[in-house]
Amino acid sequence: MSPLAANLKHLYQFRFMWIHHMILVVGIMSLFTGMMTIDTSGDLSEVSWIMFILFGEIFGMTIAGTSSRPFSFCLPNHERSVKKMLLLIWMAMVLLCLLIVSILYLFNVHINPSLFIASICLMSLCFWSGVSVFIRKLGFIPLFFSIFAFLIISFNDMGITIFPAIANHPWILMLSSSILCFLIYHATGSRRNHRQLCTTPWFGFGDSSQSRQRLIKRKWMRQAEKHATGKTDDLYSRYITDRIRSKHHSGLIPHLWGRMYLLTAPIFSRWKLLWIPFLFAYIMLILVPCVIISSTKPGFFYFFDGMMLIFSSFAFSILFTNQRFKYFLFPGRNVHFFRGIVVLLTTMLLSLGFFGISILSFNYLSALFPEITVMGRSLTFLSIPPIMLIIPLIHVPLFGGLFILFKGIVLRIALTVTGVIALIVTIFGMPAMETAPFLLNLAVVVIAAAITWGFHLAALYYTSMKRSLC
Amino acid sequence: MNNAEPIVKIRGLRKTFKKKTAIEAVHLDILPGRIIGLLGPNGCGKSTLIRHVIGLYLPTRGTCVTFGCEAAKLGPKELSRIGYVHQEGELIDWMTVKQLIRYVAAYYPNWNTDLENRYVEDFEIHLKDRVGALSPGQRQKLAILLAIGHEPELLILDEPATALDPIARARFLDLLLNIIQQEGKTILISSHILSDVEKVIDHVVIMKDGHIIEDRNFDELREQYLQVRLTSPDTPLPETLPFENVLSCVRNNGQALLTLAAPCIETIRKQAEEINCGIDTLPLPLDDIYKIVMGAKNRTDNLSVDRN
Repeated sequence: MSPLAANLKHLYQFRFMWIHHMILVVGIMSLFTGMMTIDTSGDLSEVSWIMFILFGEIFGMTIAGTSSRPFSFCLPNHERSVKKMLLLIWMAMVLLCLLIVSILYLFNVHINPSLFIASICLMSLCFWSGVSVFIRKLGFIPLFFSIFAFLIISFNDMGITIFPAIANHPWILMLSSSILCFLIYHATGSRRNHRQLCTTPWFGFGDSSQSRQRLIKRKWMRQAEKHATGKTDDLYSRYITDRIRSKHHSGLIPHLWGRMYLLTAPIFSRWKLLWIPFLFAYIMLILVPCVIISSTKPGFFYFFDGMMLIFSSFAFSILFTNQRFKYFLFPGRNVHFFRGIVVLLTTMLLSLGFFGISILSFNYLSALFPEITVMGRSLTFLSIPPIMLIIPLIHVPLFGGLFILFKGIVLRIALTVTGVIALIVTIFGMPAMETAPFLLNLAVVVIAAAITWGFHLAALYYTSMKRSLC
Repeated sequence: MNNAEPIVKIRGLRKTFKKKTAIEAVHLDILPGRIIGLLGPNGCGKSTLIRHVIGLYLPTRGTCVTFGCEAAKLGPKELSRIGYVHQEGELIDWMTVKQLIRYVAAYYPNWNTDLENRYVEDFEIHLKDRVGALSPGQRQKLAILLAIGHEPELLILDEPATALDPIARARFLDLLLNIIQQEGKTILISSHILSDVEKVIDHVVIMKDGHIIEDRNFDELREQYLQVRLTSPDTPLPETLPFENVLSCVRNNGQALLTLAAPCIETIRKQAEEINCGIDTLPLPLDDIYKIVMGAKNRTDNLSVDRN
């Protein structure tokens, strides 16, 4: 069996290949029925072109993911097999498009040839970008970026100029996309990729549904995290160790300093793995409700904002309050309890600081953001109201308490139920709070915070004093 | 020394996890200066017992008192007298080795920097490496250093040498012998590598199914068993040998290797002379003693079942 034939077998032997086929068929059908019937003025083009970007990139990624099984990259003389196969699939995709256009032509559907060529170019570019995204292991982040960039272009006046220009002069897109596609095609079979991907034990889209692959990925990620570059702050380390050393006479204080150090120092050492993805997800999540939801569906604004902040509080709880290092330098149950309080306070300070800064900066941005009109709809930047800071104040101890108290499946159930209840309370509570008197709001916040903080402390006390610690 | 107050006193300890009983009716005294080997098959409750000693586990029934304080109430001061190397090897992965040592050392005013430097050199620990990138063996070496650096009075080693290569294991044993030479140090060592353990221990505790089935001085235990090589160069060995309490007998070309329980050397010599055989006596390795004790417990269990 030739390398190419062996690789092609993935396309029908892979468990989740039907998803790819479905994307291909549905994507091409819907794109062409949308694209071929529009005129060159660019009207209605946003939706169709977003579809192109999504379709092309996801399809490229999944195909590259599926076809790049270990042996494709690890066997000798297989360097070129993956790119050959991807080229074959791309050609099949273009042929399918031509077939659909021919059918549409037979049924006398109006087809704009320039727009057709531009569509094929855009789709090819997105396909090969998707391949590149997979090969470079960038995940779905570039996809979000391209959609985001496209939205910015579309929602400004630029879109009205750019889209008809592309449609009327397809050779510009043809030339640029051909060069880019060729470069990506060329890079796909490079020895460097070959070497790197051979050691990557997980692949594309469908693999996440396989528990074995998930397990491999988790182990790999853990290993990658261990080897991640990034320096811990030596000055900070020295400062803390000096503090610990100077408080030897007190049994408790050195351990509190130590725990604070263990919580905060990884911010410097693991920023690349931990903080950049978190910040990116946070900014993306904040922009959707602030720009699009607030303008198009104002009723859902609190839903999305609340969801985003609850999710972020949850992330903070996982990162910080989830008790670790039980054996390491075990200082006794009393100190363990007080260390837990320090953990909660530090987490709260960090999360309030983070959310506070982000709310302030987005408030500032909202003043700069121009009002834009898209398809007759006015879009403004509505920032998160500062009152929403109470969400982390209440939810971080709540989620943290659940982490401390429960394990395994009980924890998952408890977190899900709590998250849903929290969301419902937020959706109905927040709009009501905007109009309610200040004192009433204050009372509600104080009572809610007292309950969740009390719950966290009770959970911490129970696990520290009344339960085995490992 | 034996009249001294035990530093760990365990009485009627029972620990259950949901419906599973991990340890049952455990009584144990750990006297200062003793080097105790805690032996037993996987899942017999060794680690559970150790975790009670430092207060990580709470007993379902019974008491565990360490340094005169109920183990669950141990504070930083008492715990700083204990060094603990655990199976899980929990260390802080994002620190460099140097940072971790500095961090741990900061907690102990009596941290021995000379010992640290010597150990780092002997065990070839690379200070600039990230802890998370260390191999299991390197990690174990670092965990041992962190446990002994403050020269604890009670050193608890839960499977300390499993991940070490033979050379590192030999160095580790030398290190333990050095620690033992210091007056008043107590070591509780749980290990499956019995050939290593027997070089350092003076007391044996054997556990099975959550119970302590043997708790005695290692020399006393050794005296309970003897290996005898019986040789008859001229005539074949008789079909029936006259010795009592024979636990095993392997015959081979005019030789027999016997393992005897409760032996009396003089009687054995006389009995050997009667059948014109020469004898060599050999101490029984801990490995074999362990197997005999575990086997004897099985036999006793079977007998009690039969009687019932």
